[in-house]
Amino acid sequence: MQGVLLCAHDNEVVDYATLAVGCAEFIKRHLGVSISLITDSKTWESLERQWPDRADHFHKVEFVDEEENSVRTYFNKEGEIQRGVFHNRSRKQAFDLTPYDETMIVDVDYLVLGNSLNRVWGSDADIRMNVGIEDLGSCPAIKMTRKINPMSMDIHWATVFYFKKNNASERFFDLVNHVAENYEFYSATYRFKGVLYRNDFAFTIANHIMSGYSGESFVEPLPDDHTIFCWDQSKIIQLRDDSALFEIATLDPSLKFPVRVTGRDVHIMNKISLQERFREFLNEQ
Amino acid sequence: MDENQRPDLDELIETANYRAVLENQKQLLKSKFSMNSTFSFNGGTFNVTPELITYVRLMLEDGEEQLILLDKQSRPILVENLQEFYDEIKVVYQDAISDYFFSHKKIAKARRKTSRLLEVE
Repeated sequence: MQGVLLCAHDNEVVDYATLAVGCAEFIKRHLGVSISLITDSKTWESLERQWPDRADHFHKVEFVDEEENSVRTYFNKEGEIQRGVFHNRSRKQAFDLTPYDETMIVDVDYLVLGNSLNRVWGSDADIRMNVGIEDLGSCPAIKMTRKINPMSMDIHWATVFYFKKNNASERFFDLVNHVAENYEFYSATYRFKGVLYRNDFAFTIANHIMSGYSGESFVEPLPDDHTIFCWDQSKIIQLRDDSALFEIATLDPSLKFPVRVTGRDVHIMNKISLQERFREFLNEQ
Repeated sequence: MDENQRPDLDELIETANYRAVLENQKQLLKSKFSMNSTFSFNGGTFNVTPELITYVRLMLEDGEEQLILLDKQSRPILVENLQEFYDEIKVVYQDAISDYFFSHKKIAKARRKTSRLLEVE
């Protein structure tokens, strides 16, 4: 069985329940595959209260007690900073919790506008995850690092990834959990700031170890080998069934930049603007 | 979109640099074409190019019914039914290039109107 697995844990700033429902709505429309959810009881209660007719989007719901992570920065629609506790550790339990033989893990702030992810099913590779990223606008306000540290290896982005339930993937997830449990040691070894646990970094290090510390990669890229990112300072301003309009921030705060994306998926870092667009979209249906 | 957001959108379109928006939209179309011309088959992922189509066609004309091809990750993939593979990659490429052509044409017709580039009424 094939399906998509989402992880959602509300915090004081972001309504991850709405993000999960919105994300599932677009997955249902464009991919048409089964969807399951890893969450906590509080987030699920919020989801059922806000979206009682949409809770059945999820084939299976797994409840976990989410571990605390550090506080991270979120940008609201006015571009102001808000801080909230980031709950992102349940993803590393995906191997044990998935009900599928082939699983696609998707961040709930990943907007699916086309069916390119469906090309991954039946893959020969055990795990597929992208290194390649593309900025949505040509003049992003921030220069995003693409490496763990300037002299180290490229980041594998855990935003969206595929795995088969087999021995190789199990070993890989064991390694991810080991890195997470010893994050301080690995942040010192690989020389990055380890204050905030990041799945991207844990998965990248696990891949480095699984690849025998070589330049080759055990993890292969997804069929569409570039993930499009819309960074925090930019925001989504309009959402349709297969397209979205964005306001891209530039280095000059007075100069904004509109971009239309049709039929391609986008990872939207400004979660607050996305939750608002999802609310509008879901209420219009 | 609710009415309160419309002035923001109008202002954004009004003040945006047309050439910058145009070039960005062109770049997105190019990468969409690249995505659309990707084809997954028998566990492998291929970039469908005129070269791949021509090579497969040549092999078919030489009477080959099966073929081993390298996918994007240089993984050797056995194509057991070459005719079926050929028919599929031809459709993938034609669909991808048609979409690229018509979307590009739409942009070319925008005539310096940012709202047309972005399909905003």
